[in-house]
Amino acid sequence: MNKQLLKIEFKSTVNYFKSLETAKIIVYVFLAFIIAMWLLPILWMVSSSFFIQADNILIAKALFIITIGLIIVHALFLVNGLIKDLFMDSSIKSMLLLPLKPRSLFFVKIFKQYILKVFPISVLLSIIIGFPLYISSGSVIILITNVLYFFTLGIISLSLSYCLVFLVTKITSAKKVGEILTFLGAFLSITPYLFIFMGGQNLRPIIDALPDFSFLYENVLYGGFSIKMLAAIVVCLLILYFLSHIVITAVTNIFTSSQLESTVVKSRGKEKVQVFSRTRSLIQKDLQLTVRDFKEWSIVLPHYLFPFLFLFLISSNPAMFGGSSNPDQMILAISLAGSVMISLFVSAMNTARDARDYQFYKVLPIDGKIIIRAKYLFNSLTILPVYLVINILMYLFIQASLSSLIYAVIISILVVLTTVPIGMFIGTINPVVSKKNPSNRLDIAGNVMITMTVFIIIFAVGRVSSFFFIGNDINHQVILLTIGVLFITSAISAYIILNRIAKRYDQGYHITYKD
Amino acid sequence: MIEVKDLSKKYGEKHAVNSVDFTVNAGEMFAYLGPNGSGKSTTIKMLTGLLEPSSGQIKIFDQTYSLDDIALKKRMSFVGDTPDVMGKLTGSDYLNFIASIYEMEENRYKEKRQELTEMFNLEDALNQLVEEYSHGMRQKLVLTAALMHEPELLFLDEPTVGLDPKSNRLLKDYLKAHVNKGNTVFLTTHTLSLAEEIADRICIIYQGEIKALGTLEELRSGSAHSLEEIFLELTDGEDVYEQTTLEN
Repeated sequence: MNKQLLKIEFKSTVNYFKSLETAKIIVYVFLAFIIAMWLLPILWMVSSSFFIQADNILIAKALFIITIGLIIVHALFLVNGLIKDLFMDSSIKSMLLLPLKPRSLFFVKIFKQYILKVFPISVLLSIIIGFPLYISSGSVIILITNVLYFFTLGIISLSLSYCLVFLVTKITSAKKVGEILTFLGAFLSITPYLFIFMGGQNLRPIIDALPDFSFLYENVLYGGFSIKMLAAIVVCLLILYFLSHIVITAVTNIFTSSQLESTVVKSRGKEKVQVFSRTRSLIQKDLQLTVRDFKEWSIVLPHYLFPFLFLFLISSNPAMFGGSSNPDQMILAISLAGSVMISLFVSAMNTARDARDYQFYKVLPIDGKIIIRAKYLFNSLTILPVYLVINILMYLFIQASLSSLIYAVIISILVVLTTVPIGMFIGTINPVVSKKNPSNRLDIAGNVMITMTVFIIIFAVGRVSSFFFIGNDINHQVILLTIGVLFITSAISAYIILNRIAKRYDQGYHITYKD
Repeated sequence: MIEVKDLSKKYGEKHAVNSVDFTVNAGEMFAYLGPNGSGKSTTIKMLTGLLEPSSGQIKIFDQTYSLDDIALKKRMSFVGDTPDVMGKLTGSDYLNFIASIYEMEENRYKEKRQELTEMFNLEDALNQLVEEYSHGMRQKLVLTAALMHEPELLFLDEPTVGLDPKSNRLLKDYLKAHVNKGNTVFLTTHTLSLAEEIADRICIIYQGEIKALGTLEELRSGSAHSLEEIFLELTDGEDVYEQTTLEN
């Protein structure tokens, strides 16, 4: 029975890869190439030089940090996939009705998760940590204990992720958990920058502050042969056996005892019976769809962190300003670059979201002009206040002058009003509708356009903002002239581009439906 | 009310709908029947403007219909075969949105909303998110939204799927009353008893072509056949029917 189920899972995985678009296959091959040729060798070099040369106390501390960090991060990443594979997959319910043992079904599902999402990490860690420790000790048994240790960590992460899911689904629905985790995942995507830029500087004090963990790891994962190694092997094997049994049994019991059937139904306050203007009702609808969906937050909010990344880049790379910079120039540069980037991306994503409900809009008695006007107002009204707050925070962080803050605010408003229509235009170029991955809304062309623009801005903004200064003094004439130009471009952009998008809405546009 | 002449839709070489002609009169309940893949949904999508015909002409309210005609769209409603509603809106938000888009007068909206939500027993669920609704509740919500502005022309694609027996009965009664007021309903369904009970005229489509069109009496043409027997006979389902009867 298990063999048949495994065959089906294997086939569905193979079919998934077969159905991938050529562009995606190229991206995957490229990523695999980067990982194999660049990332792995670097990891290997860093890890081997550390584990071969470092003293035993430092190795123990490093192993402890890696263990804790790995379990937490890996479990969090697994949770999202687990919700998609088990909770969002409606085929599970129909499979349970087939004449097969539920335990076999869940064994196969968990096994698939393990092979695809846990096993590769365990192998990777065994290679980049276990091998250097084996080389430095010269004992094969060290390699065995390391391999077993990292495989045990994988099972612990998997078990922890199931625990997390079952605990949080007691509080709220699995769907909501999925949304929140996607939201957290989006922020996690920025954490590597934080680790690189900030964590690296603080890692040493953290390591120094940790107690000595040699009693845990010495003569187990490194050092000479001892009876502790044999004990560790037995403990790891027992944990592997019992945890995998417990996970399969618990998942089978919870799913078959209908404990997950009760969805949490929440009332949304007092219902209002109101008729608004059509524009206002469209804006309100967009606002409700955004505020109530953590997935929407996960798409939009991380982009609001990029001005702070710009701040870091600008303050750590004065070359961006031709060798020198002052706080006034920094705030103006960030107001320009940040507002272009945020308004381009956020408005493109907000507009592309409508592709999902395009048929619904088409049968309603409403023309494209009203829909687009409402969307423009929604984008501007949601982006502008947040960016104004960012400007004020920047002003407080870098202690710029009040006049530069006022200029930065005016420039941000006008840049947002100019760029939002362009972002909306990009959002209507072949938008993508994917039920499994709703954040995947822009096609490759749209993504490339935005990415290219952002890169150009990052490299050019320092130079451009230097035109606003004579030495360290603000050149008011140039800034006022720029504001005048931006005022005209925002009006032209709103008129010409919005009309074109409205026509697109009325005439119909190409939408790619995935899964 | 609806005039369809020589309407065709081709996908590659295959005719989904092939040279269809019919007229639906004002104040008529018109049932459009056919087995799966016969061209029902394709026809209704062409009538509502969601699909462009390969050839032929569609006139609604004596005008060539296009999706740009907002004034015309205000006089109509369409309920699709799946009740897709944006899940993050509450039922109440959704109804407010539709009433605003149709520019309903507020008091009229309140009155109709109360009448319909009471009829479908939906009042207690209105401040919940639509994503928490069952299929039947979503169907009731989209029906409420489609009916509350009292459209002169109503397109319903499989409207009773997912409805409980009571709501089903109430919907039938409501539609009959709606038609009696001079409004028109164009309905596709697999539930032959529904068509038999409420339709003024019935059209049976099979493999993209109209096989029969008329009142139930005209379709029977004097025989005592039920609509099910006529339907199976016209759609090559007779063999299956005979086999099943013999087995029983």
